[in-house]
Amino acid sequence: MRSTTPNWLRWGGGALIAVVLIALPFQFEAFRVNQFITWMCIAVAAAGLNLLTGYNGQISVGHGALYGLGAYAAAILVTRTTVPMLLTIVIAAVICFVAGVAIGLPALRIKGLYLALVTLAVAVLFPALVEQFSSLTGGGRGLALVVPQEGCPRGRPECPVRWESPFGGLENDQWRYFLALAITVVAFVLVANLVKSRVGRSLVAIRDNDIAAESSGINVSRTKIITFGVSAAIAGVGGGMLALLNGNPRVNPTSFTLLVSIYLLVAVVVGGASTVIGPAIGALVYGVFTDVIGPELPGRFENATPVILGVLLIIQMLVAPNGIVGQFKEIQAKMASRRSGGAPEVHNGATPVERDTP
Amino acid sequence: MPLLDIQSVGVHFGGVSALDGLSFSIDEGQLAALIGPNGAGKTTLFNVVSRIYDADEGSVTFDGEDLLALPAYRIAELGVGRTFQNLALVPGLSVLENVIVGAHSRSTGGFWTAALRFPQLAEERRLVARAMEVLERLGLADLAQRPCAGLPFGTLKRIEFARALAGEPRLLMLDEPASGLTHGEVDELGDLIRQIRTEFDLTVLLVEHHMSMVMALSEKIVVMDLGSKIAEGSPAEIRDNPAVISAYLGAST
Repeated sequence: MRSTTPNWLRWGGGALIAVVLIALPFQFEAFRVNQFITWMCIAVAAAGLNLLTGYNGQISVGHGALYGLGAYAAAILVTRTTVPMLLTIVIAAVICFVAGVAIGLPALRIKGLYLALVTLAVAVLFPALVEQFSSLTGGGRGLALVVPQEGCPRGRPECPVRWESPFGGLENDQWRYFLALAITVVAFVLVANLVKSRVGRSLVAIRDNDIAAESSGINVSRTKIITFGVSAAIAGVGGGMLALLNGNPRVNPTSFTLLVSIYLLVAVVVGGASTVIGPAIGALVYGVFTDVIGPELPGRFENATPVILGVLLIIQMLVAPNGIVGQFKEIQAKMASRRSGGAPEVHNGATPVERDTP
Repeated sequence: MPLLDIQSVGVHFGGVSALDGLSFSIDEGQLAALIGPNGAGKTTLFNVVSRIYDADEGSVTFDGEDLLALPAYRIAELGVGRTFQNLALVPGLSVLENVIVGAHSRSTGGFWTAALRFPQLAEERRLVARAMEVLERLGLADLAQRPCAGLPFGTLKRIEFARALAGEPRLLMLDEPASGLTHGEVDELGDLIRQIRTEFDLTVLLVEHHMSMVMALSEKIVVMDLGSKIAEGSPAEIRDNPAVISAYLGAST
């Protein structure tokens, strides 16, 4: 399907979003900018999960653990080696790729809820693993981010990770924001390219009809495994960003609990599974809700945020099961067919999720 | 040497034999039909050839290559295309994309080149052009950008046909292509199959219940009942074969 969005809206909307994204760190204080960075990390991790769950139909409830693995890998590399900081995120992605392939191996035999259970085990196991290897990870206390550098002994809290802007006039938080934004944009562009390619079509074919996929010549097992790895690698990039860029000089195991895995899934579904931009929208909704609206709620609702989020999720599933972006596309398709006076694009829900076709 | 050679193939599900010592062969360029009552094992044979089912005994060779030694995803690459009796399309993709998926084994590109996009651009253009050609040939070009979901059964069957052709097969296996069609449409489909076979230089194996179409099209007919072959020959030979009449009508011989 070719997108029904008119070109002027496409370019105009894109330019507007770009201006807003660039202006944001100049309009808000550092603590808010740090939250924006965290939302971007979640968006990237959710984009990785979307590739696996949305496009390829393999449900993972364990991506919080891969997100965490990426964070710890980057943090440990920064703290203990002299690998350049941005390169640690790349290495973290590679490590997560390997872990993703390993977790994905059972997916060759099992599908659906059973696979979800295996990944759930991974999510539950992760904090215990962090505790187990506490000499490396700092255990429950978290891992302080310190950089080995000249005149400053390795692993001493006096030398925290710093992101000095190479340009004048940018505060540290603003510089970190732009680094995070750049990585996020690259990640989303790569995913967008991937899903509208030969590989992307294979992913959807495997999700919707693996026998048809196989007899068309798609190596289903291999593709599923690599998708798991790639999905994990992207989640790992999100984690690496979180560890190094969000302004918190400490990586804590509490950032990667089972709940985080579920929030990632929620971000995918709320934003729109199998749409490129859906996970970003989902992460934005999640971020606005937990960081902006949540704290404003009256005191007696303080612990009720997950409940409210849950209720909203149920309402959304009833009103817009394809997520925000999916719903938007549906409305757009309807309007387009009304304008052209042709028969309406029939979409009788045979697809579990509408696929993005930019 | 025959193009497709089935030798003593057996498939057993528990105590039930879906196929039992089935042997026949098709020569290159032949248009052959596989007929028999429901449950005779026709679709099972298709699934054995496309490696969806494992054969418990026997051998299947395609152009001398042992198919049973290959994984299912390698079959298309060798030049065996097929359609499915109950449709196996991808509802999440447009009609065009479904047809392009059919050309998977005729294209290249992995995760890296796809993510970087530019190495793939020429390939993508080629795939789209090729798929559009096939769609046009089958009169489906107008539907290219539509989702598959919601299209009529007969049209979906035709899209499957297009997808199989996109894989540039040498052998095309059609599983009940005429089911769900009206009488007029069945005749049209018959003509189409005949033309396509010449244009694309195909060998065709057809499973079909519309006897008029089978008789008019086929050069060779293999009749199956209860997992075994009961007759084989030209349409004229089959029409008068007492075993065939008995299997179809239940008459005593």
